[in-house]
Amino acid sequence: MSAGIVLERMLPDQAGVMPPGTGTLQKQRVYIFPTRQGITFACMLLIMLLGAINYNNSMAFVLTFFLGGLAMVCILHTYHNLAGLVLTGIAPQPVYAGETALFPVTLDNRVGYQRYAIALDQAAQRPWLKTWQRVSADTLYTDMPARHLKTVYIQVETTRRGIRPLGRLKISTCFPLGLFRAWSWLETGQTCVVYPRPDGNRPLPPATIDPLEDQKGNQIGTDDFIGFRKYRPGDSTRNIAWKALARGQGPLVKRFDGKGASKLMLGWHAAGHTQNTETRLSQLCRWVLRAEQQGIHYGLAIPGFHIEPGHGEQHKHLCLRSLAGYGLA
Amino acid sequence: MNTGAAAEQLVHRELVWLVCGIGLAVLPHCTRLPVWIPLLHYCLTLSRLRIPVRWAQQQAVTLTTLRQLAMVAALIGVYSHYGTLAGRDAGVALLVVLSGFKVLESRTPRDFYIGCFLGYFLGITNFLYTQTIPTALFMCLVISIITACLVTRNDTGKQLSIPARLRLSGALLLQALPIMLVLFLLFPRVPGPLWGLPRDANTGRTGLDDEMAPGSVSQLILSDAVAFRAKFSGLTPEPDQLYWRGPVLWFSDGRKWTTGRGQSGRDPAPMNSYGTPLRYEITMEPTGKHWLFPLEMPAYIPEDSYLSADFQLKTKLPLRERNRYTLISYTNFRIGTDHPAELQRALQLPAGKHKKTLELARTWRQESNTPGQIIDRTLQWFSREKFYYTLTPPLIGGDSVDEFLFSTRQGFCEHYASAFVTLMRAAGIPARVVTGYLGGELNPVGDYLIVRQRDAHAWAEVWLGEEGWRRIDPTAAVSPARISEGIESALPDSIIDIPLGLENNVIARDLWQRFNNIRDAINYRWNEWVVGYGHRRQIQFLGQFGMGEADWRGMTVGLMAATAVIVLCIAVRLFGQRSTSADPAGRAYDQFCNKLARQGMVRHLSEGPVDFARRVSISRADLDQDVNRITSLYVDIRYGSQAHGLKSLQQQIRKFRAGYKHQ
Repeated sequence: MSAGIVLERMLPDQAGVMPPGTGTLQKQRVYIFPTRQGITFACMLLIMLLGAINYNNSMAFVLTFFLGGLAMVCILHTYHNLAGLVLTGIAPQPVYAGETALFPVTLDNRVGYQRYAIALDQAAQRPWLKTWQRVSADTLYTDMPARHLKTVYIQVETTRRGIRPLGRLKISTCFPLGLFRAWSWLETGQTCVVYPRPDGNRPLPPATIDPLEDQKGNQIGTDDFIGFRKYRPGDSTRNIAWKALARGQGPLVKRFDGKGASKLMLGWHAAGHTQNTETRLSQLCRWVLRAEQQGIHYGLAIPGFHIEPGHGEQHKHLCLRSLAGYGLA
Repeated sequence: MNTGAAAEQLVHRELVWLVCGIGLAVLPHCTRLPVWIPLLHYCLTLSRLRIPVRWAQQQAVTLTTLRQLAMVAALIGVYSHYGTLAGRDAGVALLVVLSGFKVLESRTPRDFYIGCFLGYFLGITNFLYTQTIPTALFMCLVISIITACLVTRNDTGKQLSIPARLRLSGALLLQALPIMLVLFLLFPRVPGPLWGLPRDANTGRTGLDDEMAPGSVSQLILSDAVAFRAKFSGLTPEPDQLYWRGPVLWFSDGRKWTTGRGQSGRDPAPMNSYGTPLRYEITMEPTGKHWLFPLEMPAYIPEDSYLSADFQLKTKLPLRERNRYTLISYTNFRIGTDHPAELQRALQLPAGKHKKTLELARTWRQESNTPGQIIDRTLQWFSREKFYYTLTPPLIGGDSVDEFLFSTRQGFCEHYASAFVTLMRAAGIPARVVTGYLGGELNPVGDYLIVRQRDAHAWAEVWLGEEGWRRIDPTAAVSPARISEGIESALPDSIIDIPLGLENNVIARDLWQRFNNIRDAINYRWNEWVVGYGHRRQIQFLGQFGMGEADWRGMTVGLMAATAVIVLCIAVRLFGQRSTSADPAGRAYDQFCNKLARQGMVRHLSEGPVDFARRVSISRADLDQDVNRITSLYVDIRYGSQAHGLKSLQQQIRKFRAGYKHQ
């Protein structure tokens, strides 16, 4: 356990939930190398040693060797400060393009000593020689008390909609003396869904009333109970048949006759005249949000996707995720 | 939690530590540097703490110009004081000044680290001046504070309190201690300097030299510094036999006596010795010069030294480190041959000087028959007339010998030796001045003699034909106590290092003396084994372990091996999983969890043993049986108060292997 950093890989279960402590553990190698200060320190020791030899000065030898011993001990302590930490990447909340995505990473210090100044940053794609010493301005530093679990958020600026992977993480420390840096590369596999930026000022297309339905009124269909169906994520909890659940029949949802519900299909062509896909996606995104806000049942009909009209938080995210992934793989 | 941008800023508390650390490293230099240099250093470093960052940023250009001007001025100041920027003293002065400026301009972490390293370096420069135990202890304090500085810098979350940082720095240094010891003992030492030492490397060391002017010996009397220590194998000789022979002076210019250039031959004159030989070791303090001080007269000399014709014992290389020499001497001896050129040299007198002395010598010569009579007459004259032995003789302006003999009549050993030899030469008796040390203080704690600079002495040798060169100590005629009881009896108390108020209290004096003896005995060991640990002592030390023949290659291999062992020990201690559980079942279970953790199955803090076992069973079906058996046993013992199963649990856990079984 002490030999390296342990990365816990979370495999989401069928419901997309990742309970902690169930991931697979991967051991990552911890590297250690002198920092620039460490190299300066070594040069100073060399000068001291030459001076001590030349002057044949015993106490100068003592001090030089003392500092040399200190550096050696420092290697162990720096390594010790990092090795054995358990990291878990947690799925981040989706964001709209232009917002800052927060990738939660849980640091788990399971040992009986405190760790100090653990630095987390995104490893640039540059070779390690360029990155091992530099600390970028957005590096996160955190201390880990003994037997303590802590979640830190890695901030990533997003510019485009799509799926943004966190990429390689570098976890490092220079504690206690800054002469050495111990580090490890981690591939947490976290991705953040980046929705299109809601934009565009076209009005919401008029809702169409389904001609097959009775044209009695405009109320939302919650009146007449017509039966049960299986629970789907996103269904309102008000409609869950709790009694059926208590009887052990599994989660069922009560269905009501949706007489008079206004339905809206948000289509590709209504979203813009220009050929710019991103502008259209932004407009669609805004419409989805507005429709959700106004309580309209809406669906999405864009090339490659056809989402039946629906309503609710889950439905909204389904639509937005479709928009985010439009045209990507 | 904070970010890298914040970590790039220096904070006040780091700077306070840095200023303290460097300030302490500079502190011992204060006595050795012109007063403005440390003052400047402290002003610069303290002002860094006072200057508000924002104001400094606004005034950046002005401040930079000012700082550069001040730096140039300081460099010129150092140069004008020392006449150079190189060498030990000027180098240290430069380092003190520049470290002050470095702290003042510290803005980035890089500056901070350079400041810390300068602090370490300033610490080491102190040892160029003094290597005593107090200095060493003080430097330990300095480096632990500078190390705490580095800890403060790297504690980005500001989680550690001041004592915690000091504790951590202390712990790191304690762990570094064994590595330091191994390196110190085994790092191959070379006998000489790598390149030339700066000329001022050995200044400040007092000691006898190849010339003697009025006042040069009495200058040494004020010094408490140890010249050498001597340990006799048998009995220590009587105090009046303890003449430690140093430079022999032949040539007088009327005021100053010198050895005379290149005239003493390398082959020692023949010597007849009588009585029992005295075997002893002397531990010389480094002088930067060649003389050893054997007891008169040396018969066996160390390897890398030689005796000159006039029995000066010199080493081939200057004494740069504290060294120990084994010697054999006889106190009964006859030396010398009637070498005409040598006797001629022993009659040299400066032309046209000491007229009254020459006149007196001529009358005595006419009235006496043998050289012996003239010598006796001179010594009687010294003791009968009002000659005084004093450390503070009146200043002699004119002819140094005439004025001393006929008007002031107050002098120290060098005055008597010089006047006596002049008188002898004037009377036609070949004579020469011998300088060295007389006596020494016995340290009963270590059973050795300490000979200090204040035991410096000058006496005379006269040529008596058949008898050879005979030692005559004219000081004995004036102050017999100096010879028989040592310098302390002949001098007022104020010269000897006795604290004020203790002079009259016998018991206090005694205790003080005993304390001093213990202190010196400790210093003796320290000097012998730590400060004096050089090439020679290293061979001697390794010889005790049968590695006396080890060359630098062998030492390097040994050094690496020993260091690796120590580092490994520290690593085991650091990384070894220590169970935090108090009861034996818990400890056994922790051991079980560690075995699983090594395979990547780490128990969560919130996870109970049963849940953990279930999770392990899922991922590793092959361990299912073992894990469940051990877990249920543990749960029974721990929560079901089934104490009798403990043995079985411990046994099963010991046998448990979590690794994949290879078929």
